[in-house]
Amino acid sequence: MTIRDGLISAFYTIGLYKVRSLLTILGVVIGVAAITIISSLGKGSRLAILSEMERIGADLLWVGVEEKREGFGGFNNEDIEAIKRVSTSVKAISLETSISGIPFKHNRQRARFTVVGVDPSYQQILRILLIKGRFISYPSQKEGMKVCVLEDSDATRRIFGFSNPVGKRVDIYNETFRIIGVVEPKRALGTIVEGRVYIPSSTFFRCVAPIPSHLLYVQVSSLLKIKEASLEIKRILEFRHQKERVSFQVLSLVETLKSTQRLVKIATLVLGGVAFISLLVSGIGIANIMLISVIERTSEIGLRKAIGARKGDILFQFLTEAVVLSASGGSLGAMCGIILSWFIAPFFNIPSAISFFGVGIALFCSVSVGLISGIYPAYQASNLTPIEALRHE
Amino acid sequence: MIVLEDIRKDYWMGKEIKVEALKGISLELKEGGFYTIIGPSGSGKSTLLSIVGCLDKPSSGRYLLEGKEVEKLSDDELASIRNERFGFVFQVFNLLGPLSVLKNVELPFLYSKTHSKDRRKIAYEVLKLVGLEKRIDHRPNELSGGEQQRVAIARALVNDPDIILADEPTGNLDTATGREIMKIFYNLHKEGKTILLITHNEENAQFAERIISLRDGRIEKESGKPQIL
Repeated sequence: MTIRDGLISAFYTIGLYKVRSLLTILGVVIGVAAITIISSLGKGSRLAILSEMERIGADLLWVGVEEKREGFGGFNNEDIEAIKRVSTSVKAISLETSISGIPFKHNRQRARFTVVGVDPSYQQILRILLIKGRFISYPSQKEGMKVCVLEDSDATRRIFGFSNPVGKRVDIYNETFRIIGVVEPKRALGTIVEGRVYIPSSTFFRCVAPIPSHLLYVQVSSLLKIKEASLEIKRILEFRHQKERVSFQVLSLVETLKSTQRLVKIATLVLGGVAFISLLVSGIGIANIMLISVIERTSEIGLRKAIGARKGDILFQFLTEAVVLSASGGSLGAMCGIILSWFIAPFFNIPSAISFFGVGIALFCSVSVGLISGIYPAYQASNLTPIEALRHE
Repeated sequence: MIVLEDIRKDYWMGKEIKVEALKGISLELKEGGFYTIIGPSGSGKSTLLSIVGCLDKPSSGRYLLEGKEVEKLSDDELASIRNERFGFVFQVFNLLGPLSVLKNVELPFLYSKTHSKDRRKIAYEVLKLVGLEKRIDHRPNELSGGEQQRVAIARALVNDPDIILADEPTGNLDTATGREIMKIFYNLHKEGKTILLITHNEENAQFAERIISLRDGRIEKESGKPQIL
């Protein structure tokens, strides 16, 4: 029996028992689809983190307090000046302070926005792309001007439509601000609920809320100086805030994202493992239906042996059937999985990516499952003696 | 061409009861001969036919096929002997229901070396021989019993075997159709095939050159008969 003959015969037999074959392979379909979806979503989120890492750059440091202490009064401009003066490895530095749910009003449109107070160097440090107008300037920071930069988001588009917001006036928390620019949103995992608006940090403290800032962003002058800069910043801040008894944490954001990426990878593997078990279980279903098929077709096996089928021919015929069965389930599952993950990815705010490695593994496993579950029934069939098989009713 | 020497076959029903189906059969089948086996149920006719056709192995005795000792051959060698030398026809036709008439007849080629291009042509020619060339695309269950048996005969002939073995080929057919089928076997015999055929029907037995009557696993009588056709 040639491979071609075996395949033709297998497809033919499977086609004869359509409903039964479909039910048998359903487990494989679900298993392979699950593996495809999980690995694709995993790949999508790793890609999202990767692009975030590329955007923010490796030279970015994040400075925070280790534990929030009641006594800590927040970072101030003197801290920033001191770091700039003492440390030679710091290129730029900006504090960030934010408050969400602030009333935002333009003409009659109302919304709630997250207001973020930053320094002019913030745009450069976090590599924020400017779409229209300009970012906060040094003079406007110095004089605490009421200017703001909008983040391009669904919220801002709802308010301004297609018109250019630059130059328009908005009310933020009872104060009137002038929009001077529009920037790309900071991409992050998870959905952006509220629109964000940037204002000078001096204005923030004066007009919005005098809440202390717990966050500094630092750009180092050279990647080689990350460690040196971290230590210097920590030392300066700890000296300056001695009395408040706080310790500070300096992290490279890329490092943080790398560990997130490792977590995503582990989650993908664990979930993929669960899906793989369902694939194994489906193998039992295939073995079961193949055994029934061998019993039902005993006289066919007898006839085939009478007209010259060798043991190997019968073995091959039934193995091919099992493999074709599971492989078609696998292909169907891969197709469903690819289509579904394409639809699901946007709900998690991650790019739609197909993990061809994952699909490949899933298909390989489905074929192996078919092969393994087919072995026993096929062996049973091939070992029937021709005369007993022929006499079977 | 076939020599059987003191062939015995025992079956075990469970562990206790031994059934002696054949109790020492010695027989010689000559090339081109037409033999029928008659005898009551349980006399060992089918067992003898299975052993001759290499479907079953004797418990003891010697079986020489063209001088080769069959009991020394492996399962795979027996399979290719069945494929090349023997054509089987059964009482219940044993056609594969889902396959067309043509595909059923082509089936033995799956296990032989015949080139796939020639398969269809040969199968068609053989079906023409049994007068079914117009029904090649039908399913077996769309045919009458006689037609189904003709398909089975075509399948037995497609690999051009020397020996045709038939186990009550007319058993499921009415008398007239049975006669038609016997005529096909008679013509095959005239063309030089060796034929060994089991029958219950005395009249059909008369087509053969020699009649072997079995009783209780032994040859009761072997006789030559004048041909009626």
